[in-house]
Amino acid sequence: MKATAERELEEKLRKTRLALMNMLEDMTGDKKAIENAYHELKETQDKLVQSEKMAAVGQLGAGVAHELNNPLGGILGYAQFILAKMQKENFNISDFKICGQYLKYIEKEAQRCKTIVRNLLIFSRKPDRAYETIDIKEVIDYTLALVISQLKLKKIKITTDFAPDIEKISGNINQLQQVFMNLMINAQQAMPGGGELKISAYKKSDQEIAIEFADTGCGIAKENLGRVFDAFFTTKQGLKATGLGLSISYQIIKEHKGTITAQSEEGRGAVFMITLPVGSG
Amino acid sequence: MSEGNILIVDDEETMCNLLKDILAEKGYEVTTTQKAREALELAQDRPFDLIITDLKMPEIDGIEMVRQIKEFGIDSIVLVITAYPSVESVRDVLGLGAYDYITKPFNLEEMFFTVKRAVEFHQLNVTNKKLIEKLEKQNILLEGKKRKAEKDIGKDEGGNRG
Repeated sequence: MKATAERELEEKLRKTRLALMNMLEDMTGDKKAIENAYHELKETQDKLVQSEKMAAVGQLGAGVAHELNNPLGGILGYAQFILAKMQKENFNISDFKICGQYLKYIEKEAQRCKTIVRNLLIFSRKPDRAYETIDIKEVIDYTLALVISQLKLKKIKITTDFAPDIEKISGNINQLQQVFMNLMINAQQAMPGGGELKISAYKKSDQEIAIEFADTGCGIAKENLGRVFDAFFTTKQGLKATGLGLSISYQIIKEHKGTITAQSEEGRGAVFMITLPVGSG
Repeated sequence: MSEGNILIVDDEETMCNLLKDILAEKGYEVTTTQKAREALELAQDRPFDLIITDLKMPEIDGIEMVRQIKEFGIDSIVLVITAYPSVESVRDVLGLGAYDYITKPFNLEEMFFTVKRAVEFHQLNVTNKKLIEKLEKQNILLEGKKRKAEKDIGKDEGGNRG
């Protein structure tokens, strides 16, 4: 009798163990599926970020062409002028000295081209998720170097105000550069007839820094203010508007454990404020 | 004797220097400025055969420069240079009366040729204007003489009859 009861118990135990094993197997499968989905989501996000970045580079077309063709004009002109001088029969020591000065111009202008191309490459490279200790002022300066020509062409005055005591933060330069680029281009588009963009960075508290982008543009309507960070939301007309710039920026800042907010009144400009935690992370 | 007077306005210092260096060597008298407002003042103060203006400049751009040069009645040929050419900007500046349009980076020979052509065109225009003025003055003189001669003849005829 006892033996039968024991056997039944053992059988029950075996079945329960089997059910548990199956459940565990299912859960492992589910976990793997979730991991795959998460991985796919990250990949898609990276692709979105990259495509938005390329769109931003496209929008910089005029500025970049202007920025490169100006120094190239100096380089080509002075190179041809030197060649013409050297072909003269009476090329003398005075010509030699003048050519030395022209070569200095060429070097200076070539350095300008190098800087703009380097900044473009940094901006266009595929995202990696590595975080490093960064000086936010430098990241803003790199980004500004890319868009400054475009903004000046659109008659936008740019002022920067960086507090000297801003601590370094832990972040991804490439991603933060994209956020700043989005905000600068947005400001430019909000001021089609020109205006002023003020970028300031300061220590908000012992734990965080703040970066503000204040423009004097058309502002954001009250009913749209709450939606500007939504994916695919845009009030811009035309094919170039993807409605992803600010939502990607929001995502990036969130990943950096920071915040991004917008304050605006229609017709009275807009202020975008980002806060980021200080420290090397 | 200079080949012609040229005013250059470009917010890029190197471009101002380059154009001054290459055109001065060709015998032109060159004045440069990086500020469009200053260029407009200079152009009103003294005559230039040619004004070379950059298109994209802060404050006053090349299109506005051409418009104001024409509005102020400044008698100079205007040549526009730009690092970012577009169909619209070509249409705008040529429509406002600019003589030609050159894109950066440019070949020196292309620049020399266009500048030479523009300066010669302006100088021909000036000579032409002076000749027309001279001709008009001579016409007036001639008309006066003709009228005097007719009057004298009339007097003589009257005297003879009397």
